[in-house]
Amino acid sequence: MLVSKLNLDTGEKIIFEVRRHWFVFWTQATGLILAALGPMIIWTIGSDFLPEKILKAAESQAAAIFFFHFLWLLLFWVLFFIRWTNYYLDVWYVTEKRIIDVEQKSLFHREVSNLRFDKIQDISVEVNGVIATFLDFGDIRVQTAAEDSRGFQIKSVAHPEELRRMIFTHHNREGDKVTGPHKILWDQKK
Amino acid sequence: MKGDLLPFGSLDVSKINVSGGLSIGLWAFFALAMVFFVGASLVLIFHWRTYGISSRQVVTAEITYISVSVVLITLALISLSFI
Repeated sequence: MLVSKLNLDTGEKIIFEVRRHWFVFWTQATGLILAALGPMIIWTIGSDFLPEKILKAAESQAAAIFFFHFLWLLLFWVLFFIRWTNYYLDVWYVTEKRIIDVEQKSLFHREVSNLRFDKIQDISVEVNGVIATFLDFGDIRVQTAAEDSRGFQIKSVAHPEELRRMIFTHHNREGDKVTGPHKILWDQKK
Repeated sequence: MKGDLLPFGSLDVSKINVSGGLSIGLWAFFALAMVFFVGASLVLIFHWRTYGISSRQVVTAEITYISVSVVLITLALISLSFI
């Protein structure tokens, strides 16, 4: 399954899976839910204002109306799961040696990138907004030393500070293996 | 009378069912919708099986997706049968 597709080294294990916070997904999904229930809501509210002729015509075609309404719900059910699949497959896998950034841009567009801990230059965390502060989610940006590198970024991840701490720990451990004791200070600037 | 000599001379036109064509059209529409639904479902299940790392989450997603889909399709079929 996925482990073979990630091309992990021998003995390398996934320590952490990082995804966007559930609140972000459900904010996007709410639009789909409202669209799915829209016809029902409009009919419930609007039927009091419709002329009797139209109401009688609708009653006589009730079976056809229900048929289309169930297909409408099925359509949005499928769209909901397409949205969920894009959310679920957008993930960082953190192993002992590296971060594997899997970005599912659309159903048939997938990007996988690797970032070894000893290549990390800087990690920044941004928590923006009232809801993000109370629910503790934010953006993490990881910079590498390469000039042409765009870095790694994951948006709206839960507990970003804890994740940064964990990445720092593993980075320092890898750095010690390569060059001897070396630590990134919390407030290190370029 | 002349009408009695014709094969369908005594047939009351007002009682002919003209909704037969509509029903066939809706069945065809339903069949087309099912083709798209099955195609989309296969794509989704392929992605979950191929890229979903936690088999428990994948199974939960599959069960939820398929069970609700079956309920909606069944309800649509029942509605269609009344047309």
